[in-house]
Amino acid sequence: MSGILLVDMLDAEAAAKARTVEAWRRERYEAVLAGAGEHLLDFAERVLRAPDSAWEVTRSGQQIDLSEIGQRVLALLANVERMLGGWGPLFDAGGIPAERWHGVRNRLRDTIVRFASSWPAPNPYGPEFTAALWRADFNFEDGERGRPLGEVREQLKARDSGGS
Amino acid sequence: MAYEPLLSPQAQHDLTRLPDSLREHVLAEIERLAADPVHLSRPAVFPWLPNRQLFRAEPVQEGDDRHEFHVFFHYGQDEQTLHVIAIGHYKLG
Repeated sequence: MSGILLVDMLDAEAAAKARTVEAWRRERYEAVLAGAGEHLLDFAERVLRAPDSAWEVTRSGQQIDLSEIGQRVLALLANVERMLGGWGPLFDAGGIPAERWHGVRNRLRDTIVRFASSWPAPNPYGPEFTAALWRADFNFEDGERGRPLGEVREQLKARDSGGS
Repeated sequence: MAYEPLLSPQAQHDLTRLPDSLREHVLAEIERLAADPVHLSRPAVFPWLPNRQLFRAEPVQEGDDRHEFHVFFHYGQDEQTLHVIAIGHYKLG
């Protein structure tokens, strides 16, 4: 066997070993991220039950500050909803299907809308506006951006004067 | 520092539901907010979140009715825009 051939064989073997180690590392990395993703989803599922606990407290007859409890539960739900959105790359890297964590996030969004619209804390806007406010906030989170005020003003003027 | 206000589809919808007599007032108030949002707004409360911003526009008295307006907004990440998410309105009287 020539020296050059032997060197080629050794290089090939080293490259194969490096590929195996890399694949092993990637696999382990993916497994760790998948585990972390599962923990986050479990946590989010538990947080979804927070409104039920809050309603139970109201039924128990205890003297509680409804505004304070409402604000805290809402903040918990909303912060976890945002956290799930922010951890999208982790779920992807862990091989967790997007439909799964989107599903949990959508349930959090529905729960937020329901809770914010129905909790008996002072809210002069009413349930319909509250639901619309939250949906608009989620749309913003998903990347929706508005139009400049000047354009909106012109459009409203045109509409009022019978234009477009 | 003045910011550029951008109105979400919901905020535009909220404006169209206002009587004509109040709409320009609200737009002018949003412009006033955009000129100095730090001093004119405060953290929101229920049913929104304390880490979002709320601006109470000048109320308008029409006969026995007093119209109250609240502008819900976010600061843009570019630190040059204000994203108006929704405009709340209710009438006391």
